[in-house]
Amino acid sequence: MVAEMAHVFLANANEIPATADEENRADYLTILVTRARAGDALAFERIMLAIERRVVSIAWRMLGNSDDAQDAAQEVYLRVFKYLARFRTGEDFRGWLYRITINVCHDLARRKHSTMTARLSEIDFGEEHAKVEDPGIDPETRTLRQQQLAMVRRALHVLSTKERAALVLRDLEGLSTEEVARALGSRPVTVRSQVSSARAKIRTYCERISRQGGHDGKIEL
Amino acid sequence: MGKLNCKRASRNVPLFVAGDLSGDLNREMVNHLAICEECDRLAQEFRESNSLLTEACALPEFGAQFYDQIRNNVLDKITRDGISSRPRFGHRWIFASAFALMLIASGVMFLRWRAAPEAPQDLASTTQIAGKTASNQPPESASPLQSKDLPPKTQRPQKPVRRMTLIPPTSQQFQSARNLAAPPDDPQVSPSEIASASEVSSIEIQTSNPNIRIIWLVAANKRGAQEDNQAKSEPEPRTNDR
Repeated sequence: MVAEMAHVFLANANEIPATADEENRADYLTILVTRARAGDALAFERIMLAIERRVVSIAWRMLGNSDDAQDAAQEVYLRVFKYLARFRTGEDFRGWLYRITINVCHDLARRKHSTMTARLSEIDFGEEHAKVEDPGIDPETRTLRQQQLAMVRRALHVLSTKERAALVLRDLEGLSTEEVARALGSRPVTVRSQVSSARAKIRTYCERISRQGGHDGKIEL
Repeated sequence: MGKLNCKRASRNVPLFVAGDLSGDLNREMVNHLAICEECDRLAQEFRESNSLLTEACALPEFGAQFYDQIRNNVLDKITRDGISSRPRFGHRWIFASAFALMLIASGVMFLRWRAAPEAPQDLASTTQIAGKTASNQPPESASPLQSKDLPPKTQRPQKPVRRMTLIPPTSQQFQSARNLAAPPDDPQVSPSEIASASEVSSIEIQTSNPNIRIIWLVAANKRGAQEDNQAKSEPEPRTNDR
């Protein structure tokens, strides 16, 4: 999909081949980064296309709503463009990108005077997911399920900043513990501890939801 | 490694269910969960909550327009604000350079201060000060620019220096002094020697006033009279006004 979109934006598609195989290559981003550092604007557009889904995904899960995720993604791209010259050749570009994304999310949340334990009323996870309907399930069951999922999503925002970042990258984005540690600038053992603590809190939250019915939305961890 | 108890197992369950454990600890967890129903139930709860979280946080489809808008905004902002990706000599480098320069300068000043000799306290400087005090005039070596173009500086009143100069007697004077100290009937002292010692033994004392110097002379040929005078009064000082 990224490759198809790239053809739309690139004036000369032959200049940088953008097939799916090409993008799957490990050094695909490295080539683009090298070209972008040399001043190739098309290469930078390609980088944006290649990373946009991941960036938006992390930002949306960290911030809890699509508007903030969009702002965060823009800021991430701007920082990538601005600091691309500082990026050391041979370094893991994705790790560098994840670190920028997490930092941008922290900054954005701080700027909005809401800590990463955001006010639950501002989190619109539920509304976005409520639009997805499954005709195979009866409406009552579907409603209950959606409420349950919404509560779990809010549980994510009751975690501390570091725990949430570690959990999002490790469990939701599927990175390895070592990759998460590199992205967060910490040690793997620290990440393991944060992820373990976060999972335990989420489980406790889910357990209380099932006990209380999960209608008040004021469950403390 | 010892057997896993429930307390330790429950601590490791969150990592075990997501496959974060490896080696012996992972095998022990498998064995423990196989025999402990409570820990196995706990592991099952963790699996359910993890699965629920993954389902709850599945990324919705935002659509191509959402992503297009992000890219276009970024490109517009880069073009409009003229953001450059080239490395710049940032503010922090300027501050760091200034700080380093200050550090080097202070180090050099400290070394020069350490290497400089201490202020001289010898007689020469004292004499110079006394000379200035005596003349009450600016030194001749003063630059003509200072003496002509600039108004004369108000001179701080110099504290007068008390200086006492002892002129060591010559060998002849010394000998004459010995002759004076010797008894009159000393056979080694001849009358001619006594006569030649008339101009010996002078002690000069510089007073606080540089214009006044006390020169104390002892006349050898009047030794007998002087001894009498010493019994009565002090020897007569002779002032030398310059």
